[in-house]
Amino acid sequence: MKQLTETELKALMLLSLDGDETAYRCLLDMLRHLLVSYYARRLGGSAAAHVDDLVQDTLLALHQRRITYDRARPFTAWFFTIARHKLVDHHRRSGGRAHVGLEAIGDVADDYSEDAVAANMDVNRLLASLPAWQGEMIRQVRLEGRSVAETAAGAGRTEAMVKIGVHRGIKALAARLRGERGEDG
Amino acid sequence: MAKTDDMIDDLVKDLLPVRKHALHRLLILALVPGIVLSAAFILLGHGLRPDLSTAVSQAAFWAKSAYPLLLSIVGVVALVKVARPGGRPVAAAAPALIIYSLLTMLGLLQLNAATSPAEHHRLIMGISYWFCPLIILAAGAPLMAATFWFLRRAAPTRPRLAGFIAGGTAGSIGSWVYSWGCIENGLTFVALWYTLGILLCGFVGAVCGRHFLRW
Repeated sequence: MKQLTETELKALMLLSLDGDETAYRCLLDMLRHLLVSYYARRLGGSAAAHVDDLVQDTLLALHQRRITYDRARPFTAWFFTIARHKLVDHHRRSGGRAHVGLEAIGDVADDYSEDAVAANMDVNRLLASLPAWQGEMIRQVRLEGRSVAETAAGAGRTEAMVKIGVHRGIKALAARLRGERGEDG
Repeated sequence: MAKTDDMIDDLVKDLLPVRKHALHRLLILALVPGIVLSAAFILLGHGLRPDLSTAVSQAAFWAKSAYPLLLSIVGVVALVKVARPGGRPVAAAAPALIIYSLLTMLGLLQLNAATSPAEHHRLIMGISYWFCPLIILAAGAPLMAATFWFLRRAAPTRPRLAGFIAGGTAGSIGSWVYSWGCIENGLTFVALWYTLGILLCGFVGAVCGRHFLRW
């Protein structure tokens, strides 16, 4: 699908606020597709039914609360704050699953934060696919920036083993990523 | 997916233009009847202060009235902010603290000028300290209904914080209304008991926010 920009979406929103039905239909259609991928990524494959509910909920909230959009501000920031609010609400009602992701979702509030959150969640998901100790070594050495010696001492392994763990883990991740991309396209 | 198509059709059919500053208009629309009801409650249930004609020539009266009025202005600005998704009215904290500090400083000056222990006591405790916060809560109630009515049509994403601001703003406007009926002249009294009443409204608002501001 064509990459949508803030400028286009905002222009459509401003027309919609003035009562332009064609622009509004176009806006809702575009946002609907954005929302489907936004929620599908965050809920995982098992929750396809919830995705539709959330998409409808969010579009309805946009409609009912469009009075709160400030014309001088970015539209996507406003809209995805609503989408995030609906996602948090969904998690709360379904019993607080996926709490780890929620704090990250609450903190970021700028224009392109959706992508930052997605990247963060993707990294966690990828690391979880490795053997537990390899994932942990990569997290400590590469993400948290600890030294190899520190990590080795903490895990009760030799420095050589930590280095090998990180190296093999990253190779495995790279292979996985190539595989995923292969499947997609 | 078909359901989403239907919904988009319905939403498009339901589209009405939104005027500029519609959110501000909505808030004014809510506050005007709230203030009228609150003023009616104070006028009929309590009455204006009997010595109002002499009080208006005293600086203490105007300082007492200005405190909740200034807080109300800060509150209304914060309310519009928190009504929008993701809105964090952090900018309201500094002015609110400055207003409170100014009042406290004036109150201390007033206490310094007091000549007798009885006057001193009167400036702090007044004769109405025990029901002053309760009257403010009552005078704030119609305004709290107004601010909640407004927020339920807006999009606050922090229900408790939004409720606290809605309650605190309602309490501030309510205490401004009450300042025309209240017979106290002590600014320390205002700093203690008016503030307690306003915080009480804020607390009630925060509790209500959890229940009424979810969407």
